[in-house]
Amino acid sequence: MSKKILVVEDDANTSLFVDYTLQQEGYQVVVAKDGLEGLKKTEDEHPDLIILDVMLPGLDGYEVCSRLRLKPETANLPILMFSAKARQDDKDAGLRFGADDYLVKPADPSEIRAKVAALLGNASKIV
Amino acid sequence: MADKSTAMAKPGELAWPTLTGSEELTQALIRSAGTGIYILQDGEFLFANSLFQELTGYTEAELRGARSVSFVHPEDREAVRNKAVENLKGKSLLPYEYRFIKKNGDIMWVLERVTSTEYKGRPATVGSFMDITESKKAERELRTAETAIRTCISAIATADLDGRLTYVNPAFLKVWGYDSPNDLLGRSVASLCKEDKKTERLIQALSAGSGTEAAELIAEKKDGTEFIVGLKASLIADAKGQPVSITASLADITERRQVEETRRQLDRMKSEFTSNVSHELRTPLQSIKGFSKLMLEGKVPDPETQKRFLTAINQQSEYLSRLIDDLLDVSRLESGRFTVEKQRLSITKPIREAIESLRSLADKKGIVINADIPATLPEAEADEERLMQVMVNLISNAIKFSSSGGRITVKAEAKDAELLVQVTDRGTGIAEDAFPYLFDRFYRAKTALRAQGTGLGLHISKEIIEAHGGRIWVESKVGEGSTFSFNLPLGQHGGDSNE
Repeated sequence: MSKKILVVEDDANTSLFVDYTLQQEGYQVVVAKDGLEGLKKTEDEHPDLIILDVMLPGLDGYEVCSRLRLKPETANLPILMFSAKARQDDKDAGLRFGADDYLVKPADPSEIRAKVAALLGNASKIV
Repeated sequence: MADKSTAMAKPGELAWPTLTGSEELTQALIRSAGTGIYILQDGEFLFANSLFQELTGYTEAELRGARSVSFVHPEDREAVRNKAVENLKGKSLLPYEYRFIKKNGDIMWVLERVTSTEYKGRPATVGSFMDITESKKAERELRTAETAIRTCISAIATADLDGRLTYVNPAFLKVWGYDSPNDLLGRSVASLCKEDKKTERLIQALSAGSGTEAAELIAEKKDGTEFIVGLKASLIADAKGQPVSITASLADITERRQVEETRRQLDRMKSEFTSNVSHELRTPLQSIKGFSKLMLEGKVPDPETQKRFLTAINQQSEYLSRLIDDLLDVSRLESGRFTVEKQRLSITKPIREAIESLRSLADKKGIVINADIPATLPEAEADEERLMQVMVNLISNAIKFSSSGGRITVKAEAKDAELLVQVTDRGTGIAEDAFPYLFDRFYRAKTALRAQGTGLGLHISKEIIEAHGGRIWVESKVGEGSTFSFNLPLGQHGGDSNE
């Protein structure tokens, strides 16, 4: 059983890129277009990791992250924030809201692969 | 000064017992008098006491036989004669003022009274005067100060130590919207302000001897309008240094505060923009960098997927170049290098070209663009390229905020002395509370569609239209759609293009 990753991203192209990159690695990918859909899919799909954009319509990434951390079942779910907000303040905020790691856009496919692998733990990386 | 030619003295009405004077008593009275005393007969000096000599600088020898009128300032002679006659005839006992020319040529203002008497069997005039030069000077200074305060553009008021108004100048009345000082005198300063506590503390601080205090208060006009007043208040002390009253100069600084607030807001928006620009550039770059890297890595063997990724790269590159154009326009706007090159032209061309350039974008969303443009429109002074930029902006906004299958109408007409152009959509509409900010630099709709724009288009459009002497505005209702309109003045040559 491959690991399932939820990508919460409002930019269709970015979502497609992350989706494709991860599927190439053998992960199962679920996508959500905004924060609310992200929360719902977390409940429904039980992903092993979430890649979370910050600037989302409605609930932003910070809000989604802190809500997930409040729930026992997702309190320890690996979350990688993936944002075009590139300042140190933004990264600090992401980690403060409970993200495990923060990746700045634009990122190489290799950076995404590496961060995801690290967060899921190398041993259980693929199938 | 009195001439002698006067009637007989009217008997004095002394309440005191009649003094049966000795020569000695008379001399003592004259010596001790605090005024200059003199006697005239036939208009000439017969006697002047020592104080008179001291005040005028003339000696006894110089005065004796001199004509009294010669010492009066020429401009005052006639008035003095008339007043003196009134005194002598007993019609008026009021003293009168005139300018006495001293021996050294200086002018001395005197306050004088005369009465008639007899000396050695013939009519004579006794006069006495005081030097009032200093008080005249003080009076003049006071009048100058009073005029300055009355005509000052700052509001000025005085109050007693309890904070009750004792004086307000016309500017004060104007600022607070009252007609007459009587509406305000005696009222407490606190009653004109919204912040009673602050006002009271200010008065207390002043009364306690702090000297001068500056403050900003929220005040209330007669009609209830609130405004911000900036003031500087000082304590007025008497000659002994005891505080007696308070004076303050005040100004309505509401507008200045608003300008400052706007500037602060603009600064905030600007810094927010700087961080947004970085964000806006990074998002399309993610697609360009990500997809191209995947392909370079050989991870995209399928030709269909390759095409899809290349299309995304291409679209995002185009978005980036649009963004850069807008950013350049904004930076030109900021530095004042933004220019419109006006020439006489028919505006139908740029409007039609704008519509055509967006036709395929509209088609893709299944949106129809209707053009309601007369065959002939009066020519206007305009910059064709800039005008097209505005039209492209308004129409592409309309497309962006319309759902598929929607309809957009572009209407142009000549009305009075102006051209009216309107772009109407039946899209999402705009909440009224956003109207004031729509044309602000960096403002973007708070919807899912915001990420598509640079937040600069409407701001640039507004600058372009205003540079043409026109105005741009919006009418909209959430859920029903929006109409963006602008007008362009036709000017005095604004005839029909067929002329």
